[in-house]
Amino acid sequence: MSGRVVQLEPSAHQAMQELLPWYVMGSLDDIEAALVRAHVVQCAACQEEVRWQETVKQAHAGVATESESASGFAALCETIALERKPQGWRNAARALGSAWRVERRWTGYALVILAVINIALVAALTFGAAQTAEYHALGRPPSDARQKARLVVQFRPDTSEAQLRQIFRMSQTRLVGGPTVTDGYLLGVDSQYEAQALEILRKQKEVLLVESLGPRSSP
Amino acid sequence: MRAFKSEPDSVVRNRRAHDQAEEVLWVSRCANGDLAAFERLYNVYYPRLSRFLDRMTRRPHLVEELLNDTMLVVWHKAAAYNHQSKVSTWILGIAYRKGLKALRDLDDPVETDSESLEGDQRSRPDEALMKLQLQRVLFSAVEALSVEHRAVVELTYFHGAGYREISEIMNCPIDTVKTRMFYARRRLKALLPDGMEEIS
Repeated sequence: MSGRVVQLEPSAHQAMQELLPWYVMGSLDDIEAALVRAHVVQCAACQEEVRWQETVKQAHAGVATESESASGFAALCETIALERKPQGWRNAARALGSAWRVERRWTGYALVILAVINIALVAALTFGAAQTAEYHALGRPPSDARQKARLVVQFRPDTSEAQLRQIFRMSQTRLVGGPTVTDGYLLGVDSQYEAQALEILRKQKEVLLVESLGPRSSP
Repeated sequence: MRAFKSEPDSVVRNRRAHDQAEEVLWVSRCANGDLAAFERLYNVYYPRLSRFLDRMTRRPHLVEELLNDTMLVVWHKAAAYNHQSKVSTWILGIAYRKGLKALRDLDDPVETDSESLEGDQRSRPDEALMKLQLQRVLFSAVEALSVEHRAVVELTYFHGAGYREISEIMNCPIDTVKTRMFYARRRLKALLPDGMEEIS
């Protein structure tokens, strides 16, 4: 190399000097390499820098690298194989998770719809019941009570409420209506105990009259 | 001076071109799910990536994991490889991002190694060991650089990457690469013991 030093503009010198590492490594393209070569021939500072760069290059070139890793690739293949598995527990869990998310969304919608229906039903029952209330006379039992009533009973006027409850318990009957215009009370009783109830009621001193409302009623 | 230049440039360039074409073919096969092609790519890149990640992160225990993470991305994204850059640029770029992320997650600041270098300076080795000493001291000095400077030095001197390729790998402007290299060189010279740079 020539030791002749040619004064260049500082910016041009710096531009060439910046490229020296890649010049030494041979990674510049042909045009850039030629430009740097032309500059280095004339620049003592860059010649010194090239020598330093060669030292660094040699230090890196002398380093041994690890060879291939069979275990590393095997581990990688396992990961890939797991990803490829179409029906694994991961997929099942993932499917369940997404189903649950969908389910949760639809549950929300269903709750809103149910709430709306409930409000509508309450409103209909409240206002509708007031508009269609069935009229019946004071002495006439409601239709439901009539269906369930099997017996009609007249009690003595001085019978107390406690005595009434005791009579109902003994005869296994229940009060479903009354009093009627004739002071009669309608009693319900299971059909299998109807005869027994009649018998018990007729024996009570508080009972003036007891009659069955059914087809097999006896006077 | 160029003791390692045993082959003509044209031969080296032809071999590189052949290797690069082969790597492109392997990536295409990976995109079609060819595990054998992936294994060849893995074996070719294992030494380069392990060295790069080790030097970049300075965390040997992380290298294997980061390397496999990198190659898993290569496997998954093989179909997205756009052929505009070299395969090595693409793969080293993925590795660089993986390494950076690992360092960020560790949140471990880069410490300087100047004290140990001063110790080396006090005990001058024999002439016969000077070259090995130089290598050791040089790598210690490289480790004291910031992760960006270290990556530029590694990619330049060990992987033979040009500055344009490095700008692609590190996703930064070309001028940034040149500036990083400029400051890395200055820092390395400052860290090396007196007289070390004369050995070659």
